[in-house]
Amino acid sequence: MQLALIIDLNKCVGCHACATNCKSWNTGGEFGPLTDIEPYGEKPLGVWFNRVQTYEVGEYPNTQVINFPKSCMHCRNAPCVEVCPTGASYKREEDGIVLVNYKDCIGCKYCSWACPYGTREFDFHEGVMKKCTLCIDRIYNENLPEEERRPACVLACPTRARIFGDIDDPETEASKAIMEKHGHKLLPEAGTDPSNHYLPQRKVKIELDEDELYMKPMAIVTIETKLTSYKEQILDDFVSP
Amino acid sequence: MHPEISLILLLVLSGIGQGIFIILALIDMILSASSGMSDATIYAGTIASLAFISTGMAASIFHLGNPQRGWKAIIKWNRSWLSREAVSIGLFAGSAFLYLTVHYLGMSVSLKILFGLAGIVSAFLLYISSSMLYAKIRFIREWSNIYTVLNFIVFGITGGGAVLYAIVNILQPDFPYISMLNSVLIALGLLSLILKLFAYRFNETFYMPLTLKHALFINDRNIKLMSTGTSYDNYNTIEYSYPLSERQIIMQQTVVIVFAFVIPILLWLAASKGVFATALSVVAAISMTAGLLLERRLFFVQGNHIQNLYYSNFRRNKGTNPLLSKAKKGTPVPL
Ligand code: SF4
Ligand code: SF4
Ligand code: SF4
Repeated sequence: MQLALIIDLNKCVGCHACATNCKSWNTGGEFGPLTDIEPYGEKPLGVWFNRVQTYEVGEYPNTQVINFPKSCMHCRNAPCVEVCPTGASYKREEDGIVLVNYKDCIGCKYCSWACPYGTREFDFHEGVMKKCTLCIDRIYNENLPEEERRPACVLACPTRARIFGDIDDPETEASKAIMEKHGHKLLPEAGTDPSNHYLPQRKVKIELDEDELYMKPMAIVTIETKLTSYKEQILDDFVSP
Repeated sequence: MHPEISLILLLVLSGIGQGIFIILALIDMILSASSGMSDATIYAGTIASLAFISTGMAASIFHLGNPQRGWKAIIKWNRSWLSREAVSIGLFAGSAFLYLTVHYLGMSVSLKILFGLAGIVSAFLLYISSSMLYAKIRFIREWSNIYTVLNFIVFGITGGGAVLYAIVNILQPDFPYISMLNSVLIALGLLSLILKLFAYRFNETFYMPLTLKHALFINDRNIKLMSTGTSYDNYNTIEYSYPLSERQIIMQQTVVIVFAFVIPILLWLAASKGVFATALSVVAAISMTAGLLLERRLFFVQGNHIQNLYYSNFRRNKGTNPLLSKAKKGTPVPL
């Protein structure tokens, strides 16, 4: 089993709801606090497990905005785990989640250098490395109602741009989304084999063959006729004495 | 990468400490039969080596968020290069201390040779593990190349030699092999200079195929970062920052070359004539240490991490340093 997040860039509107709900849950959760230094001051600096960046693609006037949430990818071949001198960073056998055991972390920051995605964040206050836990304290949490045993970011997303699931099981919504919507990994060149996938922004198009084109007027006519007769009928009924 | 002062001190000072011990133990073991270093030189050299290494170790504590758990890295001694570094620094300091003790107590020569060899071997292990730690980060091309390992070893030994040469000049100017030490140092200095120039040249010329387009997996050449999602910096913009402009890099590289290598080499050449040798060797050692501190700082600053692509502050090497060759598209370097 390899749990992961699938992020649909086609749907993400960049509202930061995932990031704020992640912060809100996790700062009070098992892997909290997500310390903030000067949160209301000039230079707010704090730990976030998930950040949303915004990019503009293309040249004016043909531009698109891409909102890009990024959290730990729970790589199958995680370089951050490999370099940790104490074994504080580890990958769980059973579900593939990469975690940091704060009690063993000496705060050497080596793991964050080894991650190509910049998803680990050092807690300057506590002196340990922190990162997305895939909400391990929600997904197995028996005190939560069944439907809430999902990551906080997934629950918060208003456009349902985030899918959570096992990408090793081809029957899950997550695996199907990857297959059907061309899910891809980030920096495959890095050789980390990340588990999180992104569904690319795409233009919605319908392709018609020539014979379909020939059929088209007829189809429209049929529908229009049906509509008209239906409409007339009702109107007739209505106006008839 | 953010140049953390504690790491710079650890690497440079312990490197010099190892270098002092390596040269001192070699001279003492090979040449002691014929004439030998005076006791004072051996004490001063070993104590200087221990002082350098312990200052480095003390500095490294400030780098760790939770140094009190450092032992957890030591018991997992073969987990990562950092664990190996922690273990070998302990082995080295221990061997050097025992070497000093055995010499002080005048115990048997074979014991001394044993600890001398242990010290030399662990010093090399320490050079290798502390450089492999950086060379293994394959997302920072400026670090993950052979020069990192070679430079850590050669600069450390040269720096240590510089300090030892100053000590010998002060305490035992009539040391019979002093001119040999001088020539060895000049050779090491030249080798360091060449290695550093090659390393700077590599930094300016390697070809990095990845761009923001690859990082986001979006096939468009025009991608601009609109918002990092935060109103101020975050760990990613602080730890991986690349704070120098092209001009500053060129300037600092020049300062490194001059202070760490050119000045010491010239001073050693002058000292070989025998006039003012003590003063010259002391100045050479100070200049070299200062130069190496800046060199290591620049090593960190120039480390340009792949994740900077996401924050659009990834530096592309432009080959602007006229001292080095122009950047050209070489063969892509695999990550
Ligand atoms: S995304 Fe980074 S921190 Fe997460 S598992 Fe992969 S390498 Fe490690
Ligand atoms: S910062 Fe902590 S988790 Fe990361 S490598 Fe060091 S000890 Fe391991
Ligand atoms: S899975 Fe949980 S910890 Fe990870 S980004 Fe989402 S809310 Fe944050």
